[in-house]
Amino acid sequence: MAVEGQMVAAWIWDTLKADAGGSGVNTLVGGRIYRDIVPQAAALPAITITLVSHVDENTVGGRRVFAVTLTDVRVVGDGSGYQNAVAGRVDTVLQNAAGVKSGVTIVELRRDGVQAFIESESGKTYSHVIQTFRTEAYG
Amino acid sequence: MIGKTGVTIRIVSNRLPQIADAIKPAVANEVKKATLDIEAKAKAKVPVLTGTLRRSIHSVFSNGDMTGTVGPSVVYGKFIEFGARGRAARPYMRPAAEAVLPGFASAVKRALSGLK
Repeated sequence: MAVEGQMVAAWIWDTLKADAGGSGVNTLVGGRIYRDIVPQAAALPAITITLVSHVDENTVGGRRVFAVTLTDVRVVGDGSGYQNAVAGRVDTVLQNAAGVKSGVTIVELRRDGVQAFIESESGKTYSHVIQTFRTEAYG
Repeated sequence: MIGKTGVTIRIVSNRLPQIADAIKPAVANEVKKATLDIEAKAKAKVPVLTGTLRRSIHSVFSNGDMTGTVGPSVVYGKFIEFGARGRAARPYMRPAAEAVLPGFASAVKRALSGLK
C-alpha cells in the first residue's frame, strides 16, 4: 500500500535537490527547497512543493489501479520581480520526468498550468510563480 | 462494355434536425451539474475561519449555459489555494475540479446517447 501523491511530491523534492549543477535549481535557490511552506527565517528565492490533488482510479471491483496527482512547485521571490529563470529551470527538469520513489512509480510529469501573482504583506512584496504538474502514479 | 451502377437514397424520415436541437440543452445540463458539483465540493473542502471565503464561492454560466465558471470572489482566495510567503497552500478549488471532471465526459456521452 502506498500514498502515491505524497510519494510524487517527495520524488519531485528529491529531483529538484539533485539538480545541483552551476545553473541547477538547487544552486539557483541556495538549497532552499521545502515541502509546503517556506520557513519564516529563510531567505528568498525559495521553492515549495505541495500536493494539490490525488484522485484514485479503481476498477469496478474496487481494486485500486493508479492515482492521478497534481503537484504545485512554487517559486517565491523577494520584491515584485518574478523568478522566471528559476521557474524555467524547474520546468526543464520536471517536464516529462519519470521515476520511482519508495516503490511508487511516477509515470510522467506534465505541466498542467502556470499561475503568477504578487503578494503584499506588512509593507513587503513577494512574487510567486506556481507551476502545476500532473502525473499518474502507482505502487 | 462498361456497365453503369448507381444507388438512389430516398430519405423517408429525417430526425437529424431534432437531434441537433436536443444536443445543446443536454450538454448544457451536464455542464450545469458538473459546475455546481465542483462548487459544492470546493465549499466542503475550503478552510473556514469566518466563512467569508466559503460564501464567496459561486458559479456563473455563460455561452448559453455551455460554459460554467466556478470560484471565489474574495481576493485572498488565491492565497489559500496557492499559498503565500509564510503560509502553506490549502488547495480547495482544484481538488474539487479533479474529483468531478473525470466523470463529466462520460456523463455527456450518456446524455447524448439517450437522444432519440
